[in-house]
Amino acid sequence: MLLLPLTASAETLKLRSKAEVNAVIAGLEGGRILLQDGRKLPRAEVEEIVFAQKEAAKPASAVVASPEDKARSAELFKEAAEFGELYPDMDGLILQDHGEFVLREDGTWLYRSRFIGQVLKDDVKRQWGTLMEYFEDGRSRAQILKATVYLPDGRVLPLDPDRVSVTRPQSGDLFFTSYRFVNYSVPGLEKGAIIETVTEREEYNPFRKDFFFPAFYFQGYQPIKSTRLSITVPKSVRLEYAAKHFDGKLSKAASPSASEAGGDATYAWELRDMPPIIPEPEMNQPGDFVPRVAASVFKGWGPILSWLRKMYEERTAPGPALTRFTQDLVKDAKTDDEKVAAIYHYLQKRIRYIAVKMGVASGWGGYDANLTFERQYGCCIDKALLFTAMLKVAGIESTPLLVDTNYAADHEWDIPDIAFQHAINLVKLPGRRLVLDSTGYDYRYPYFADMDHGVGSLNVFDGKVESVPVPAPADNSSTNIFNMRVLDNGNAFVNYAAKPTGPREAAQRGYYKRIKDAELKKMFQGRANRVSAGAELLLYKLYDLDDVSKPFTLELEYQMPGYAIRAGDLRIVKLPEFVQSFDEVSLEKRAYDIEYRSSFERRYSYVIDIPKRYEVAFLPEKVKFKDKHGAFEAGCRAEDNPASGRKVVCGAVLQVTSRVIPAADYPEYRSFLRRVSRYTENQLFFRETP
Amino acid sequence: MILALLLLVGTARADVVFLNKGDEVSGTVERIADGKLILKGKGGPQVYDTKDVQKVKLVREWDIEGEDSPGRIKSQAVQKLLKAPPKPEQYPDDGYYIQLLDRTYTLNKDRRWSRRTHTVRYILRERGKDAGANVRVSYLGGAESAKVDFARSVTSGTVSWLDDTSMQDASENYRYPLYDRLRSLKYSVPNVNVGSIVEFSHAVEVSSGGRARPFFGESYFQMSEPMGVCRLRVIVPKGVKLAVQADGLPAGAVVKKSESDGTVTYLWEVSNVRSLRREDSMPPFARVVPRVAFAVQDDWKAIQAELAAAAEANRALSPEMKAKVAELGKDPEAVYAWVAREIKQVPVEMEDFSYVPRPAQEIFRTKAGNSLDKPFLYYAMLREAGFDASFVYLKDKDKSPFLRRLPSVRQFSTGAVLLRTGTAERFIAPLSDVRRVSELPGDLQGTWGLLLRKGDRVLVQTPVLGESRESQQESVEIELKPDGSIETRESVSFSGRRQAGLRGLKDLKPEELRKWVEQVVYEVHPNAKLRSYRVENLEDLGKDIVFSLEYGVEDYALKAGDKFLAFRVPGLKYPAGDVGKPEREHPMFWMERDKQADSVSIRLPKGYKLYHLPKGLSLKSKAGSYRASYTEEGDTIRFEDSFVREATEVLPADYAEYKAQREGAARFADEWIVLTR
Repeated sequence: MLLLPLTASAETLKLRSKAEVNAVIAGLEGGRILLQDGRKLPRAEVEEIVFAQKEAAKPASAVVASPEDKARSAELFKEAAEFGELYPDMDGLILQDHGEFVLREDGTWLYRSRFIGQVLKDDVKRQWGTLMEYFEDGRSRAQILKATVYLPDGRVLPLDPDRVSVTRPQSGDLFFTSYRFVNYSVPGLEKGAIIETVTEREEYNPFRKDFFFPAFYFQGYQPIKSTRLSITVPKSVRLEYAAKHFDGKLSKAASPSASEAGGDATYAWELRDMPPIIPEPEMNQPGDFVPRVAASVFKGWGPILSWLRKMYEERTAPGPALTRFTQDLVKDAKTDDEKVAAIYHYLQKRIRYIAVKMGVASGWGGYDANLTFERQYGCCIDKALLFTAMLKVAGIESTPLLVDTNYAADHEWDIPDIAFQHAINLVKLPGRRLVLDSTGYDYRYPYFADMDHGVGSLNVFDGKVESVPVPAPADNSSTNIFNMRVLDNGNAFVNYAAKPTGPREAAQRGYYKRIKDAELKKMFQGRANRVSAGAELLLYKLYDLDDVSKPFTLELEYQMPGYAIRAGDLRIVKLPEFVQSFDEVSLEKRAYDIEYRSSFERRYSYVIDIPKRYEVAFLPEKVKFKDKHGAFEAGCRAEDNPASGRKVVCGAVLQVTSRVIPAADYPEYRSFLRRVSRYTENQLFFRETP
Repeated sequence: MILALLLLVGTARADVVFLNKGDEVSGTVERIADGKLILKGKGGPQVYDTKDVQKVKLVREWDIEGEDSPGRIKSQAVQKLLKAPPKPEQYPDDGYYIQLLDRTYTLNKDRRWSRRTHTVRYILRERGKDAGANVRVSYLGGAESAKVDFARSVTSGTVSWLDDTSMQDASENYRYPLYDRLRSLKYSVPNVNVGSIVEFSHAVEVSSGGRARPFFGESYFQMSEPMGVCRLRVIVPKGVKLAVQADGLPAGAVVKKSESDGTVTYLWEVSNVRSLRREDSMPPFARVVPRVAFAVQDDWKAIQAELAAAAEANRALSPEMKAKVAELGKDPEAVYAWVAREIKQVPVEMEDFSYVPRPAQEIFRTKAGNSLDKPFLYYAMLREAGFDASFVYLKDKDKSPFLRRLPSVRQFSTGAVLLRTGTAERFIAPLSDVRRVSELPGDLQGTWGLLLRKGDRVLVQTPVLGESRESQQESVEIELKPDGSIETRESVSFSGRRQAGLRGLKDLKPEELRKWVEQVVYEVHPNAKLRSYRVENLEDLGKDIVFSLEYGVEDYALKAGDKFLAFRVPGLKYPAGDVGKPEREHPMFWMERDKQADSVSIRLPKGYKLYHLPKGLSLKSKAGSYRASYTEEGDTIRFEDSFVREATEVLPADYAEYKAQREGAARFADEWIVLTR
């Protein structure tokens, strides 16, 4: 084990001037901080005092290559050349990707990463050219121990420790964090070069001595010759682990090799010659299919649940102000649904999303519901806790659920950990259980964000793992209603209404409300002009855009000169905005599943008045396509119209019922969606009579 | 230790003690001494062993003493809003209303300066909450510092102050350690909702950097939200001559100059400014809004001389670099290709790092450079190779228009090289690794620059490249079968922006490239099936890309009963969504010219004859033209078209004509060829 030299245990005082002072505090009293060396600092000038800071010493690496480096260079290039024959024309080759976790008796732990790769294209040069390792003051430290570049001409460029820097990263406007990075820009990295790095992060002051959750992926976007994970724990500790996606010929490697040395036991998994992931449109997350290992010292979720439950129970106790406010908010609600809806809509509309993650309690535990209520801002867990506290006032039981959204890989449920990405709520009504996510701004009760659909969740108060359901396609629908009139001269008039539901409704509401009224008009003018060049927008209305308690509807009216295209005595008419394209089925073959956020539905209805002079020459036939994962039904018919003489009625419904389409089902699904696309290219043909 | 529970308690304004075991406890740190920390919280004093404490955050509130209720706030702008808040329906476009935007630049005698911003906002509707309450102040680490004076919200009669909890001072360019100077102080004012007043003031203190970072500023007088009062003050010591240029200020703008206590104050003030409305293809923000720019009066020649000397000091080449120049054969295109590809482009602007290039040896050694340093290395290598090359600072067109009357290096944003061969001159910018030497990026075409060569011209202008150097030309052969399917062979040549975009494919693996081409043909038609493709020269910046493909589409032509087959030229689309509105407030703007041309032959199936062939089209506007024609030659239809945009700007007065041209092309692309049996 590599032991790092530490500096003397003094406090680190971070000043508002951005300077840092390392000194022992002799006393803080009133407006002054006295240091043991006699200095005095005004308290107002000090922003933070870190008691547990331990700096890592700089590695004693020389900036001049050694003869051993040169010998190693030759070996590595030989190895890369051999491996490159298996994988020609790659952007990079990874010869080694090794991760090592070491848990110590005192609960502190270390993660070391060893990497060797050959750069073959510019993108990879950019990706591998900067090393960054994060740490948190007073808890962890990070080091770059090696960053050697071997050039094809035999030169070797070792790490220059003087150029390793520490920086605090700025994040988006809504995120406030306290971690920092150790950074290093690798000099001289060029195409053909091989880079060898060793980085390390040590958790020297873990907030829980039993929280140790190693995890590792064994595949990436470049081929890997050797990918290896080792986990070393004291012999007295029983390591729980799960190896996933070690399929087919990899299955033998799912069981680790075990060894013992001194007082430690080491478990190791290694895979060789792993092919690269080739991205595909709408593919599932790599974590859902690459071989991976997760480990813990816990057998079940009990310790984590009791840790979380205690925090959440304390933080969901409504104080007097919150109680009064909530009682007032729901006073006119006649049913439980109305109470939940009032609170759900209040949280979305009034509590701004800001994530302030200053430490463990605010990071994992969230802020006290009363504080979030007072500040009127919070992140997902803050809002989830406030939701539960307010429901408590309204007499409705609920619990926070911890999830990984479906933008991420499925959470590992067999091995407990705390690495959740998002928090939502389960609300218990008589005979019903609703999942709601108050982090968004635009979801009409009882809809919730599609990023939560179909994921697993940790139900904190009930102490169990359960799935979030995928709603029916009709609950994530876009309904498009066109009433059209085609005139003798081929001009056309359109009245259009969009009536979306669920996440689709929320997405449209969120999109339109961010656009200025005058810009909306331009946008709809552009939309009409895309339907038919020269179109004139006559009207646009957005109903209940800001009132999330009511369904949102969009209405447009526009007229289109020369819409019925003349071809000899034929008039050809397209159905506006009907063409459907599905990028996810653009490939001949797929290796990976298609993953949607949710099931979905698209509905189209067209009623087209046509002039008496237009005889129907051809209308798209009535069709019904069905697949394991969806169905499509469409057709057109001509009808008499008492007013104008004739009308054509067309309709179509596409439903995709599965959120995930397995790669094995791709050929059939592709054929299904391509038939849908092809159908929507159809046009209406009329013959113009004198 | 007294408190044993894992908890997080407290109020919005308090110090926070972070315990080793994860608790965060709020209160006021009263004492630290003898290994103990005493925290006074809601439940009384609590004592902790400092060995159990991870850290303490000494939270301060950014307040103004005595102004903790709305009635005691002295700000006239706030009082005005409290008395007569704006009604949302008065501002249907806007998220919040800026009652006051007051910016003050103060130059001191010692050449240090500060810029202070004081703002009062009123939140009109939900979309204004985040933007109205969140603030980010940028400054340059090492030379500048940022601080908040105060920040507060007034909501439903309550004044809430910003505290350290929702503040973060950190690095913007942390991903680029070599160029990690730009910092930002961001903060989020608490308790902000619709109807809230948000007020804040912050300042950035700057130490002068001489001519390499002189006193200079640009302030805009229109924003994305409406303003009651928008003010700029520039205060300089008496005797300092300020160069000023104001563009587009409305009639009624207040412009004043006054003197007192050894300083001169320049003031510009505009009232009741409506918010900026975005349009498709409009010029960059800084080119359309009213602005005032200012700098301490200087001289272009003097700037040229001083910066040329600074750059020359960094131009020296190492023996290794000289060997590289020799290896590249003293060929400017080979040197260009080497610099463009081998020096990693770092996306950090000069303003956010330095206006003086890093030493050429350092750029070479680290194999990384920003838009100043990559061109500088190219310049240094060309000079070593004996070429007549000059380094030039350019202002890219994303920024505000160049101001000749305001000599300052801070007007510029990127570097380039002016290479002379015989009487010919060309501007070369080795920035990205996907552009050929002749493919000057559009944002650097037709712009101004400062030549960094003593005794040479001072200011220069880059050319706007002809449309044939920004083009895509397709040649397509199609065979239409009786069943409506087609077989297609297509070859495409590119130049300029389009070729650079395609060259980005060079980093793909073979399988990724194939998938990309499959997606391209899918976009032509959902039934398209790729037969073969060829993409060559992607990695060779010395050659144009060769791109060709063959694909088939089953059921391509629409069958209208048994009699008709109707189809269009595959992939022919000229969407007109960006010219939907009947008139424009701002010009249409593009970085470069454009040309797209197609030459298509379609062999018709036996047993069918032509029922309808669209007529040709010829449209012209001041901006360009569209010409298209169909001809029938035996069993083959030939289609030729050419879309040319010669202009990079269409003024609102010329918009109707351009719109008509674009819509004509779009309608033409919608027309059908119909065959009958």
